[in-house]
Amino acid sequence: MKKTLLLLMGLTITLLMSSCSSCGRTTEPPASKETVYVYTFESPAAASPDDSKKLIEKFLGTSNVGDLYKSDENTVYYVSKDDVSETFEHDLNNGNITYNKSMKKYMGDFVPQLPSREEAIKMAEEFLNKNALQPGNMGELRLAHFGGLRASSVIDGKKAGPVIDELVALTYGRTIDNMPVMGPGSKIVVNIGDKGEVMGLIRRWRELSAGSKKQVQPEEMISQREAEEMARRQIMSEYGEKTPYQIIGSSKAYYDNNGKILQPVYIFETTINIPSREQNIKPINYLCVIPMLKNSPEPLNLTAIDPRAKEAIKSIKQGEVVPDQNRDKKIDE
Amino acid sequence: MKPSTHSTPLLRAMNIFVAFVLVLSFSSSAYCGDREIGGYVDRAEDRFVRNVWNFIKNFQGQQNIGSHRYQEVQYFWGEPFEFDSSHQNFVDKMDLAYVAAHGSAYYVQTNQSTSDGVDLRNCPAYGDLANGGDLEFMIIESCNTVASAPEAPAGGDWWTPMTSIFQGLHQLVGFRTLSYSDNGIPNRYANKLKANGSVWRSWFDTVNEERQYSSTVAPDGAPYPGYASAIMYTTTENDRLGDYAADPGGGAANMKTWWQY
Repeated sequence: MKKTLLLLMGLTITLLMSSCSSCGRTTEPPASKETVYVYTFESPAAASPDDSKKLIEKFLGTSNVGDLYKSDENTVYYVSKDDVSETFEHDLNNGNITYNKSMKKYMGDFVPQLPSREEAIKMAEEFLNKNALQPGNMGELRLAHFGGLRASSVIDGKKAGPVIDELVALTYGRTIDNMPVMGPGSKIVVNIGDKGEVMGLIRRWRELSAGSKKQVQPEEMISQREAEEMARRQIMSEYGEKTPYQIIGSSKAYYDNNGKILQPVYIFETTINIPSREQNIKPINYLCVIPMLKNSPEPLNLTAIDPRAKEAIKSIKQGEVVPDQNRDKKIDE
Repeated sequence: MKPSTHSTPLLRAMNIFVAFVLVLSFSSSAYCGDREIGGYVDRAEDRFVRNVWNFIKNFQGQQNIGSHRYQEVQYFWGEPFEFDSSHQNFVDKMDLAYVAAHGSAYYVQTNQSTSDGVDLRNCPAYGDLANGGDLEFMIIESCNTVASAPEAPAGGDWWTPMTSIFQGLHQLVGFRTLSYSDNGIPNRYANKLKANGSVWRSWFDTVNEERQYSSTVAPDGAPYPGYASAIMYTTTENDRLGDYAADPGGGAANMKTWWQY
């Protein structure tokens, strides 16, 4: 009896010690299905259109591009005056770039020699390495899609011409803590053309700031059940009350909204069955993203609607005189 | 005959006047015609309002693009007559029409509750050539409407269903698969166009920028947000808003399609 008691006490102490070793402040808890974090992205160095011009020269070999168009959102755009297929975009806020080299030679009947899937993957990763575009942690990079671009013309107005494979496209996504990162950020797309030449790139990738990982406490996040209810309300709000729907999948993910933080979300893949007399209108697949944080420092507001969008829209009946709306009106007036 | 070296003050004044008129005419031809943009919204979910608004909000007031000026002048709930019986007053009065709707191959819904919509195969010819229209570019953000070569029946005839609306129309741009909307596509696409980017290539780039890593694959196999497609002519494939080719002659000759897979 005494021996059994001593054995039990020893076991309890061992268990307590092992549990304490994982709750120490200096030790990172292992990622589990229940553990999510908020991360901060590294802030890119301040950039200007002159930096964009240097990148244009580096990737397109084009200098003297003149003045560049800059959007209200602080993105700089270059489109060659002589060749509409040669483009460059640089988001000065976060360093995202998109570019396309000239596709002039791909017009008409030219049939490029494209690499196989395996060759293309190797070429893309070599290109990223060579140009210091690869992620800091290659373990985060996931090939999400292998596809491309095709074209076909009508011959003599009567016959289908050959289908020409113009480019292959590799879309890489990101995983953090074994969860996918969704949203407009955290992706790299490499377009590869004739003889393995990289013809275009989309790079929306910022490193996570070291030491920024902050575990989300249970009381800081909404539960799966609450999220499902929010998803239901979102669907009812979008599609109308009593709309039949089905949740076909749910998961946790991170969301990169091109802002300052990476935050956890619930993802609900749903099918909406709208009764319709129209033939061929299929049930709608609707992706419902519900932020996991009760008080996000950066609310996503993914379904927020600009009040002007609804105020400005007009109904018109057949035969009514059509007004020219907004003629010479500025948006801020 | 020897040119006269005697230039009278009257002649000099006339020369100056002619030069002035020439300068004026050249400077006005720098913006040789204002261009119009229209937005048309399926009366269904709010996301279609967001889709169209996020595009047309970028064209409030005149926007100089290349040698043209663009402005949004129509923003309507969708109605079938805007696309068919009164097309000259609506989509075909525009130079660019942006539509967000539910769709299926060749079909655009205009009102969900009444199940109204239009089948592009039955719509009148758009463009300057046949019916006094004007439309150069039609962008349809919907599922499946812009059916391309992979959607063609055996024999590969993808063009015949489209030829009826092409009578001066330069490009039809959209999705050949299911598409997920309510994302950054309309706003980013508008900015690429304002930078004088290619009409169809800018769309394809914007769709690629939205693609993401997830388990989200539509039932037809297309990854989020779907596969883009475009119908045009070989003569119009380099068109941009600030500089585009002469109106194509219509019909199937030189028709071309580009698509993502």
